[in-house]
Amino acid sequence: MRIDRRMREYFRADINRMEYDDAGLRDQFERVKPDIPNVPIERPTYLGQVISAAGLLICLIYLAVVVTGTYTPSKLSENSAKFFVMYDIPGKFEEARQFLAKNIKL
Amino acid sequence: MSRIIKKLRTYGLLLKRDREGLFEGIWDEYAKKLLYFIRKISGNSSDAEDMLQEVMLKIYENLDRYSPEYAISTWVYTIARNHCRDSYRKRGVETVPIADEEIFAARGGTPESIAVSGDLNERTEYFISRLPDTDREIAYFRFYEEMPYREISDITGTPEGTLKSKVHDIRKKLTDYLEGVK
Repeated sequence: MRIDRRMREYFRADINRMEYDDAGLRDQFERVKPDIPNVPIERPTYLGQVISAAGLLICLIYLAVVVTGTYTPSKLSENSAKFFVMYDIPGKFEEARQFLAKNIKL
Repeated sequence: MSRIIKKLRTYGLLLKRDREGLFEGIWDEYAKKLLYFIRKISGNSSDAEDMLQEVMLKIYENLDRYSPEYAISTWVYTIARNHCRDSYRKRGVETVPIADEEIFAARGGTPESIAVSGDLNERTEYFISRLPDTDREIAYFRFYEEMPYREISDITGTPEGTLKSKVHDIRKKLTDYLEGVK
């Protein structure tokens, strides 16, 4: 917006025009600055960080189980995967029903 | 430097627990702006440099309380604004509009003559000088610092809805003013 730019330019020009002695002010500050040790800066723990860490941990456990070969899919998940690959096609309703009746007991 | 890069740098310095590094960055980025803010925006030019030192001391001492949840600009300006207000209250100082007659006299005219014949910057200055303190702060934060309304609201304590309406009002009044004195 033009008027926003006008205001911004005004402030910028006014700040640049302002008398300012950075080195002098900094020197003055350094003389009065207290000697504070570099104490740990406290940061709050956010819920998001905790949730992300938990999610990451679960993924790592899953990957470790898969890589070491200790993961064995259940019969149900094996059959579900097979079912979706073979029968998730229009017109195969009857075959799908039979497959379900045979392999998945509810 | 974009906002995100600045934020990442702040996080880095916080993680390193580097008080000096963090303060260095704040000084470089904000010292001049804070002096301007104290001198011209919150309306006290007489001891602005001393006030800047006091504000910087507060910032330095409280760095370990800074939470990256807030933008560093919000934190810095909140400290400066509160410090100025407390200080005026304690000393019973009444803030005066920034552009007193002396400023205009130094430029070789009265506020009225500049309002009629001055260039665009001078007329904008005249307009801003006539704004109430709070509106001038809002204009500064919104137009110069380009802060989101939420941050301005955190600093000034004014609800976002009121801020939006004030900003709209300032825009409209300045447009009318600049067009009216052509």
